[in-house]
Amino acid sequence: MTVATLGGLIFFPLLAAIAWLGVELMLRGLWARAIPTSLWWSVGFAASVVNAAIAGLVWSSFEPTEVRFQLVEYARWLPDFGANYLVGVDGLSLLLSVFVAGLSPLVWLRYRREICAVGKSYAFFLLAFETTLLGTLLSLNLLLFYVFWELSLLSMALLSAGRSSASPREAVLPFAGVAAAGSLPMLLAILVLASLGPDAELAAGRHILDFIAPVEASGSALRDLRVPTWGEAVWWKTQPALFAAFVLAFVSRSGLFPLHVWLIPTSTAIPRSAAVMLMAALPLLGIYGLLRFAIPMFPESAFAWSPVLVAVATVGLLYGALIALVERDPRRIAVYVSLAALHLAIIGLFSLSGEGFEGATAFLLTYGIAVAGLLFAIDRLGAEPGAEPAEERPIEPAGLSPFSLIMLVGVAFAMGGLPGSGGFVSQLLVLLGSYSVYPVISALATLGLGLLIIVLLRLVRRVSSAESSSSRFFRVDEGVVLLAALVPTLWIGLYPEPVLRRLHPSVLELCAVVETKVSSETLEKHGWRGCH
Amino acid sequence: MNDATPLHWHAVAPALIVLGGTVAVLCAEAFLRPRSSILGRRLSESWRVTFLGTVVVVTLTVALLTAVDQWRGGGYASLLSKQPMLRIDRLASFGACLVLAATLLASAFSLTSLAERNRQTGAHFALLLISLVGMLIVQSATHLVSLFVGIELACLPLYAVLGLENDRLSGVEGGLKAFFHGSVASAVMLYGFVLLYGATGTMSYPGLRDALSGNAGPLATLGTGLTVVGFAAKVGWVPFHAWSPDAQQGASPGAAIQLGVALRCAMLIGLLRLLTDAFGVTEDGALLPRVFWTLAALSMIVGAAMANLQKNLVRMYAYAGIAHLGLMSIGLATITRASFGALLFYLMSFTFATLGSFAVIAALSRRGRGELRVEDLRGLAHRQPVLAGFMTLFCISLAGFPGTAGFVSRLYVFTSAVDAGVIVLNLIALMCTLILALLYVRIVATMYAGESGASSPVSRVSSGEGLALAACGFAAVVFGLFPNAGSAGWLAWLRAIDWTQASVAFLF
Repeated sequence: MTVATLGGLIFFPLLAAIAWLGVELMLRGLWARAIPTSLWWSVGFAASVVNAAIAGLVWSSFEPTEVRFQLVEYARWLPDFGANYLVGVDGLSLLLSVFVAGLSPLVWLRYRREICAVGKSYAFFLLAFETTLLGTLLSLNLLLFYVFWELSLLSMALLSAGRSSASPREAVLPFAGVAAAGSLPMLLAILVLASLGPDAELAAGRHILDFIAPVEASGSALRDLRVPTWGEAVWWKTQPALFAAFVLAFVSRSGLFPLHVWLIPTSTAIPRSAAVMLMAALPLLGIYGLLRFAIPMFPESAFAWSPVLVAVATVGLLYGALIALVERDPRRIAVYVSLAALHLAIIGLFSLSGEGFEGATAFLLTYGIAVAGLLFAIDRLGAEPGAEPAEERPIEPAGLSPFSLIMLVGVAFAMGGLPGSGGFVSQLLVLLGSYSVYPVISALATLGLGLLIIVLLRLVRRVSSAESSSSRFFRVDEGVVLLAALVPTLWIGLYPEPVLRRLHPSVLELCAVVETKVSSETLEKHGWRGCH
Repeated sequence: MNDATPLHWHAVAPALIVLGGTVAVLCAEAFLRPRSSILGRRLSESWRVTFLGTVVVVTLTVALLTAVDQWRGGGYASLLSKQPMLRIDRLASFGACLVLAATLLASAFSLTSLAERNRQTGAHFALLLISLVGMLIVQSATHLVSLFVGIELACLPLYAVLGLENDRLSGVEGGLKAFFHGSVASAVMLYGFVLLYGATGTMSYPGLRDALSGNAGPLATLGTGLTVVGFAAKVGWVPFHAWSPDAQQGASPGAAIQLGVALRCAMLIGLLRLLTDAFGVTEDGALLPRVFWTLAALSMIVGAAMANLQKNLVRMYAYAGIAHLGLMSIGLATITRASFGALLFYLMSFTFATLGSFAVIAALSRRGRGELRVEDLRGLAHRQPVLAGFMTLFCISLAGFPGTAGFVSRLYVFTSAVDAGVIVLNLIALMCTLILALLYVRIVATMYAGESGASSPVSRVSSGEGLALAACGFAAVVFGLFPNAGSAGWLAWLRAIDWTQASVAFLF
């Protein structure tokens, strides 16, 4: 395909922002006139809508049954370091990038006033952030992936800075510190990967870091590279070390237990629109990275560390649920509920079973939708960003319009995985997958999910029993956001076929890679039953 | 030892042009006195400064173009092969381009602030240009005597420039500290040279290399050690760094660039040549790489940690510069062609990003507002969005975020170290990068945070500052996105990685 659809999808928001910045600078220079911030909002909103349309185009041109990556675009970029511009989409990245592209206009719509209040640079970084998210999801070159990965951290940090009350030390540095500390070892691990094997194409004896072979003839793909196991090479060139670096990066970015320390300070201090992106979109990247890169490249380590990772994730799930149980501030409850639920993806993933993979991938999507909906619904509640925590002030559940209330009920269902919602399908798959391998873990995870349902229903009860002070029954932005959050949830819950059909080839591919790379004894010992 | 090879004047053309420029500046300073008049019209101070600035900028531009041309021609290595004093090869030309570009941009942005503060502009520029001649000599020296002459010529005028800031306590303090430190370093280095001469009986690099290639005695080892210590003190590696933050804090932004960037460039490139040509250090050469390993590790740790404690912006940059110095000296700990190339590339990206930052600092600290603290940047993005945007770009380049030259330089350094199997130093470098990244993110976040209570006046960006900002911004982005533009096209000429590789090729 000659038209660079994916390139358009990735770079359109950033290019729109840069072009508009140029217009602004020209106006300022020529006529000494500044563009009002509300116009920045309009442009940003329009750009995100256009980008959602491009995402729709990608969706429609995607062939669901095809196993290989589609719409692949390739250009040489930094051959000296093994970096190329290589993007492509499969079922997993398709669903996630459509989610990100669809979430963005909703955020612009919902937080119009806030975006206008915080300023133009904020609008600029919001668009740039969308580009980095999509780039991370669609990159198939490991170094290109890292570029977008790190830029998403940077633009998130810049978004978080745009707040008058909080000092950067409180809002930005916890997040940036943990995330950067996590991702820098990954950079080193990527460079070590590049040094692992000689490549016919390269005189320097380095690997091109393309995950798949971009051109049929070139043949070298990172996915097929077998990384030495412990004892086969110097320690820092073996699977455990590299796997640890990757997992550290992905876990710290997703804010999973025990690296969640930044979650509360950052998510409560930054603007709400940034918080939605931080909570709903950014954690997906980490889990996605595990699925896309860590497990296929280091499957033996994944099998070796699976019990530990699953156990820690279960602790995280219970921990998040228990804290959510005793929290009083709705916002903090939402943060802890999301934190707890995200561990389910790890449990599904590192159960290392077909159902687990399938469940975890589907869960990512339903999780993103549910968290976004939850934050949209309760964003009128609780303390202002950057204000004192809720102990100081009574909670005012009032002010929730009927629409938000309906949405809260809906997303509570989705988050808790109650039947009829999208969460039900994915959580069932995760629990099934983990049950076949770790029955006890599966039971504990079910307990944690039960706690989450209790937390959410209590929240709904508290909010609905309060008097609504909102005089207006209907607000356009609320209505649109409500529909956009609830319809996909219900759709996936009642008719998951379109989503699962697109995910299935990716899962089969992952299983195939695992089966080729891992010895049959390991598989048997683990209780691997293959994928269907 | 001289068999009457004719002196190739065109080989040393950049240095000669700069020398000519110095004379021109001194004459202009002497004849265009304040309140003197031409054709019956009184000269205003700003006119005088503009004239001086034009002379400097034209001189440096011509010298820069000459150096670029020499680099493209592959240098004059063969022409000068019988001249044991200097060797103008691609490494020397590369270094010449770098220090000339740095001085050019630094002069451009410091012009306005010098004029506003009514400094001795002529003396300032003349001293900077003389020091530049010294740097050009250091980079091409192939004889210990010419090396020493170059170093002294590069350093002494800089101390004098620091002394010009004598209305501030920090200026006097910085100047004095730099002077005393520098003198001791020179003495130590000279003593090292003497011992080397005593041990080997020669002072030319090829002779030293031959004499040291066998089993060198303790005298030669001691001489080598003292020489390295002298270099370390001049460059500012930890634990020989103490003078550099003080000196940079006391200096005007332009002089701080000369001290923190250009001088370091020159000394490092001189050191590369000394190490390979004279000491014959190889990858498995036992001692020296380990010495540089230690210096690099210490500089990274101490520099990054101290930078985080600073409130004064220039001081913070000075300490961060020490950490960056440590990062680039990973190349000295793993002596390979790739690692030397990485050092040069890092030097280049560091030069432009630091220059740009100091242009912003110069623009902000005009009008005698005293020294700039980090906290003064609060809300800058709302007051002066363009300036804040440039500062953001330079900060993320220095922090090593992707899309900027800083990222590629780290990639280059890390890759060369991984290939050489140096992993522990790489892990230290990661930690250092992390701390630096947080430091710069903090600066940027402060700029985008809300308005501070006291609203500082908006300073207009002068054209010289604008030039420096645009050039450095261009370099930071273009070397970050297309360090080696793979495909043909309008960017095909841009092959920065190949440039660095070609520049160090002569050493191996």
